Amino acid sequence: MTNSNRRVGAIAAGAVVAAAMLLATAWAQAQVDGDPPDLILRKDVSTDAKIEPPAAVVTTPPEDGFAGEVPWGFYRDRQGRIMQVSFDFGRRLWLGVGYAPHRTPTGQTEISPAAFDFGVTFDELSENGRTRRRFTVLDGQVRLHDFGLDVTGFRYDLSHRYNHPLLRITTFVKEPARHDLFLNVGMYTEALHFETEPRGIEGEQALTIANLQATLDLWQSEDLRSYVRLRAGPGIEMRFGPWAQETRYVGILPQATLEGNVVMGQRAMQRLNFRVRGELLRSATWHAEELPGNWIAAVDAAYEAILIAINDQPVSLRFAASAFLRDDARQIAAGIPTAQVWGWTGTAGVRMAFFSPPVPQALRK
Amino acid sequence: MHARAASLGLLLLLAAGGRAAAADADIATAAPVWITDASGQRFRVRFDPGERLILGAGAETVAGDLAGLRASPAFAVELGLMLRGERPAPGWDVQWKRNHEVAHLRLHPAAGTGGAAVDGVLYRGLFLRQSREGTLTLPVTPPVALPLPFDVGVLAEVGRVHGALWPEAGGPPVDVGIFHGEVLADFWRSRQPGRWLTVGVGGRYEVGLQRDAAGALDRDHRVSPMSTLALAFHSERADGLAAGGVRAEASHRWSSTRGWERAYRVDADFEVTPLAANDRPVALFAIAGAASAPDLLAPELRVMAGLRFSQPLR
Repeated sequence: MTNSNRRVGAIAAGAVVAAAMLLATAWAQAQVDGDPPDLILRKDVSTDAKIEPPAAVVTTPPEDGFAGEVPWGFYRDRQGRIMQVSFDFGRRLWLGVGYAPHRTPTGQTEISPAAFDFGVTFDELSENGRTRRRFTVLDGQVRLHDFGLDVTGFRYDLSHRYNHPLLRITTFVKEPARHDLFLNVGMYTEALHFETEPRGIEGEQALTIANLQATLDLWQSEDLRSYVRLRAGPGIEMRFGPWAQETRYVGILPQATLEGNVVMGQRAMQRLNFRVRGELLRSATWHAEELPGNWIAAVDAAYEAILIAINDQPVSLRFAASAFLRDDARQIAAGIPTAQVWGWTGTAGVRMAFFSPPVPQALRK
Repeated sequence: MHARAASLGLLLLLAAGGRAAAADADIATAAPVWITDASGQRFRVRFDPGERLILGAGAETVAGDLAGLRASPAFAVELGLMLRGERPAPGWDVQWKRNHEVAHLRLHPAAGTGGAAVDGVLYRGLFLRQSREGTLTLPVTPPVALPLPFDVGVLAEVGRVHGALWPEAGGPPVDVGIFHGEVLADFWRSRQPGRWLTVGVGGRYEVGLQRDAAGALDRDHRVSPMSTLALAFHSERADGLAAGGVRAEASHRWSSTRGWERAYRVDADFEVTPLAANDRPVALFAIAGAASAPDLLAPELRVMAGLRFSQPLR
């Protein structure tokens, strides 16, 4: 009992000491802060009373800096928080990850690979609103299990809307009559497109050094962000691989493509891309050499929709599919039943984009 | 206008003296070159075939006879610069109708290291002196003026070329016309540019160059001392949408290798413009030529047809 009383007494003494130390600390802190705590109870304020806010609240703009005005592309919720709700597909850096099963040219179907995609794009509209230039850098995809890389170093293209007919045809067969053809012609160029094992040959890589093509917009939106167009032109490709140090040059003459880029939705939060491409291959050496085949056909399509934004950085869901048929792999006929090889890829994944500003108000059509 | 359109191909045949008066009326009341349609679109409906830069492309066949023309034709191009004098001012009494052709050439593939053959002229000028009252004046006292049914003129040609680009050993000959001149009588006397019916007497000097198998160059000088008789007819619509002509000449000439000989040549051309692109006419054209001369191994028949693009200069 004695021991028990001593223990209780020790605990009580400790508690007192601790309380004293806490009080001392609080008092010292109060001294540091300046004023002692206001412990006076306030009376209830009548509803008729008029309370003037502190002057600092009236004269100082809100911390978000918008003073109640929300800029275009942003939204303020009921709690006063600002968030970006519009994102420009044409100006962003993106990183993505997805599930990408595919069939290789050798006939092997890989059903459990992951793929990462990345790229930077920037487009701009001219002051008169009739020319849109698009720059894209390091647009590509890297695949795991098995490793694969398909990346384009640089791409530039422009769309232009002519306000005068490019071709005016006057016919004199009956009464002279003028027929105007508005041809919205632009250009497209791509450099340093690198791809591993494009034909399914282990160790082979292909580098498209450059191509230069003319484009003809069959349809274009008013802001030129969406289009359906034809493009055609030459290119040159360098192949190097398992045949030792020899590099083979292949000319693409021409490459013809029907492609579209359609931004959809009232807030331009969805995008649909498609492309149908055909290439005729030529020997690009001083002395023409026989090629293992002379054409390639490919088709791909993608749909992307922005679902959420994390710290104003949009995260989108993306589905894509592509397929190709190549006639230029005939020398690997061993083990392949046909002279042509084909393959496909499907992709389902998410992308997170950075540095994506809102779509300009005047351009959201 | 239907009749106007239907007359495109028949113009050359119908353009006789009776129509010359209508042409003269065209001169007096020139139709507008540019018109504006109901939607406010402005476009050109009249062209001057004699004032333009031309570039043509088509198929050409060269053969020794008509049956040979069935052979597969080869691609050929045509280029040239056409210039024409200004139209006379109202109230004119005497004027010169001047037509110039500069570097009017046709190029077509040919065997040999040159890979091409050429046919054309570096410069050809046609000058027709038009007078309201053509007369032959006898300087007697008092002078006597005898009315003439024709105007007079002159044709000058420098640098006519025919054959390979340069003579090759064992290859075909190259004919180089140094100069050709004709004194003309124009019986049509049309005030409309591009229309004439001429009879001319002229002289010509040309050199035929050919290398034998050993590479030695043979020169054949041919001189026609005002012993070439030529008949030429040319017409064009007032709006320039159709034009054509034919020219035939017979020459009694002296050759440094063969002596006196006779040579014959006929050329015809026709073009019709069904449309214009960006106010530049796009014409269908056809050219045919036939030549027979002792220096040719066989009579030569040449036909070319294709598209002709023009850049109007006026």
